[in-house]
Amino acid sequence: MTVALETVHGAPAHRRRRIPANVRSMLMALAGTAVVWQIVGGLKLVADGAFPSLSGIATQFWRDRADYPQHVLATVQAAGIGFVIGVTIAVLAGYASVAWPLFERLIRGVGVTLFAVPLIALVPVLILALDGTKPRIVLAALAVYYPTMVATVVGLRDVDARLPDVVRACGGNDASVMRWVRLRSSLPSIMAGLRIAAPAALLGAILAEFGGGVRWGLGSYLLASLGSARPERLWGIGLVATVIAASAYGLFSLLGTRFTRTNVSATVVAQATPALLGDARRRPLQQRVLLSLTSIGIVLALWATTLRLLGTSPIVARSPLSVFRYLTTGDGAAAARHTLLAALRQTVPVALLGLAAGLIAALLFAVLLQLRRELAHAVLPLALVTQTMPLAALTPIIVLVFGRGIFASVMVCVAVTFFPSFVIIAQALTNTSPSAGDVVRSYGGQEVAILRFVGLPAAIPALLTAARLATPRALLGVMIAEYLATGRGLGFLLSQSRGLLDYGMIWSVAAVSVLVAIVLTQLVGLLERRFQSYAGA
Amino acid sequence: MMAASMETSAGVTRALSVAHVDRHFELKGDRVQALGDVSLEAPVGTFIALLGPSGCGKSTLLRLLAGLDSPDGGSIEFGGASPETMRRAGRIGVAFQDPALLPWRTIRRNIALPYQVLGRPVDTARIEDLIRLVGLSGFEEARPAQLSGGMRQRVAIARALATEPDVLLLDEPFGALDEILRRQMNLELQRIWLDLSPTTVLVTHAIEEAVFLADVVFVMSARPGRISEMVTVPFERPRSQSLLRTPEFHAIADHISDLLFSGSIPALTTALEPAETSAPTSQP
Repeated sequence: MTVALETVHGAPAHRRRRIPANVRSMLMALAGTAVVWQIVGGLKLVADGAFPSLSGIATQFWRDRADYPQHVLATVQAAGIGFVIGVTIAVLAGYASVAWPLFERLIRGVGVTLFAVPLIALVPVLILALDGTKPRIVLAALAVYYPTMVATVVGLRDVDARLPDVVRACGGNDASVMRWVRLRSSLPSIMAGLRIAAPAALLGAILAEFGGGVRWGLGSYLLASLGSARPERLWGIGLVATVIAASAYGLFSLLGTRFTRTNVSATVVAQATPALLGDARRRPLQQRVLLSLTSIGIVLALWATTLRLLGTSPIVARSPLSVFRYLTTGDGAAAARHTLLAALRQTVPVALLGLAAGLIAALLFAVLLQLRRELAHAVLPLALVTQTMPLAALTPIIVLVFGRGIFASVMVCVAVTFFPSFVIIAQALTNTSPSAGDVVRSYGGQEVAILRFVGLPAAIPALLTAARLATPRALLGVMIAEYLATGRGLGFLLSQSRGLLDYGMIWSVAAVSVLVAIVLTQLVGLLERRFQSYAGA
Repeated sequence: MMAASMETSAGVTRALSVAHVDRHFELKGDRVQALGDVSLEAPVGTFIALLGPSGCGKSTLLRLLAGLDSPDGGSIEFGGASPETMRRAGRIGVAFQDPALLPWRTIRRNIALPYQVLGRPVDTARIEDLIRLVGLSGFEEARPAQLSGGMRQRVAIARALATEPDVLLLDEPFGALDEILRRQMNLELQRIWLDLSPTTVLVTHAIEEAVFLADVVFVMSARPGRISEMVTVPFERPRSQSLLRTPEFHAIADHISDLLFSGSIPALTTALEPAETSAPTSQP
């Protein structure tokens, strides 16, 4: 863009617009992919036509053109309302967390739960408790809460440390610092949060539509097309969902850069040694345990009171206590536990396997790009597309291509964990100090040696961070695949119990899968912290 | 607040008095004494300098004077008012080592910040005057990132002067500038100060700068931070560049230099010092 402008203004003789090299290689990669896609699809090389040609998808899209507007409108509307509600609550919660640290500690349980929860597990529960478009709106709102809330807290808290002092020196107090520094400083971070939250809202709405009961919506359309042996339509819906998600992502990226440009300080902080001073305010153990328990209690209380406020029949809408009884003392508790454990034993290993495969692929790919940088421009756009394609739309396509076995579940996991992990690991590899690389080079080391002594040690903590962030996604991926296709595990148990009207089991699966997700992410988080302190980060 | 400003405009003295101030920090369970039994006096309208090696606690002392931190023992008063009271009333102006401007605000709006924080109407005429005084006319609508380092520091000084403070606190305001620019800024600071004459405390580790600007130089030493000597500088104002070449100037500078480098002041070799540039903030 700048290049083009300079050419126009600086030298009128050269009116020809020049495309920057990285854009050119990206466009070439996209065009190359389109050609390969067309050929592979046209010849029905993959899975007996499950991977259709681009022209086939376009033709089908044209045929279905009358159906799309209503489906798109229904989903986007629900996602939009949910987005606004979720973002409002999350920003207020973030603000309150920064203003009152105790509040932050007390609602931490809600954040941890919503971060880890496999959204699909909530679908039947929401459909039981709410009617009409409400489940979609609620699931979209739940999906946006965590990223928005974290981004708000980070934005409000991590301000340039010198600015609060300036405001205080001018006679201000904490409230003035919030008003004059923190609120404005937090905008880029909040925009970055919304950038992730917007596609998440779409995912939430589509997942809720998988629960059935609604005629219009991209999720309903996907569900209906899954059975009808028309892969072109499935791909069309997936690509439409991707375009919507990517547009929302792009919109907030654009807003974000506008704020970031005026947010970067002209000078850097001279010295930052807050870690040196230590966390003198660490609370005593008893108090921390008490706070943790309260924080868990708040999640359970929210669950129970929401149902009471909705006034849904207690037979359908189960309270935490009722679920606990169903699994411990109720009639058939032993059988229920057995079914649940069997499903867990099917789901969790697959999720872990997929997670590991996704992480290893991300690490290898990041290392490869570090050694062969020119590949990055060609491959990244494609990876970005798989990233923005809503998981709910991606899963049916993967099932279509890879069949209904375990392999499909693992592939869903890889597809959803690969790209975010790759970004984190590649960043860690790139951000190593150049002078550290120079030290290795001055002793005659080459790129491989630099990678070994500088890059990889930096990549390992990043790998663990990536693992923590990817764990809930992996579990969600597997459960969606199970729910839609593979006929095993927690996801299948969820849809099966819905058919059998086994309300106790539906709520139990939801509760247990949330619990498993929390435990898994906390375990990986523990590993991450252990390694970070070891690495001195 | 009204009473305070009326008193000062009526000429009630606001002499600075620091008596037996102690301040220590917890560092990984150890107690580090940053300041021990510091006492000093400065009459209204004088310019004093706190001079000492890195880690002698001079920035910590400045934060105490600014009311950004409170001492563990002893007292600090500005003619009977505590730093906290002075700060809340907008009677103190501070320029930090780093200009610390709000990057999203124009120069004019950066200088207007103190009025807004204090909830007072913005005195646009005064802001225009200040912009002229610090020589930034024509840059009112620029953002900090568009200015040079010296210009940004002038904005910070203008901001510190915005509310017509009784007390001006300068924490190595030119520490990040090169030697040539630094000398120019010292001349300009003198010019601005002669115009307004607030009681001024300058923290610096440059001997020449301290002697050139101050009426009194308090030489500090470390472990714990304390005042080791008070040196009066007798030169008339305005002082010019040529003063730097006079034997009288050198005599004072050399005297201070001897104080700093003689064995009486240790800690020139100590590295670890939490309380210097990164004095702990009191936020959670």
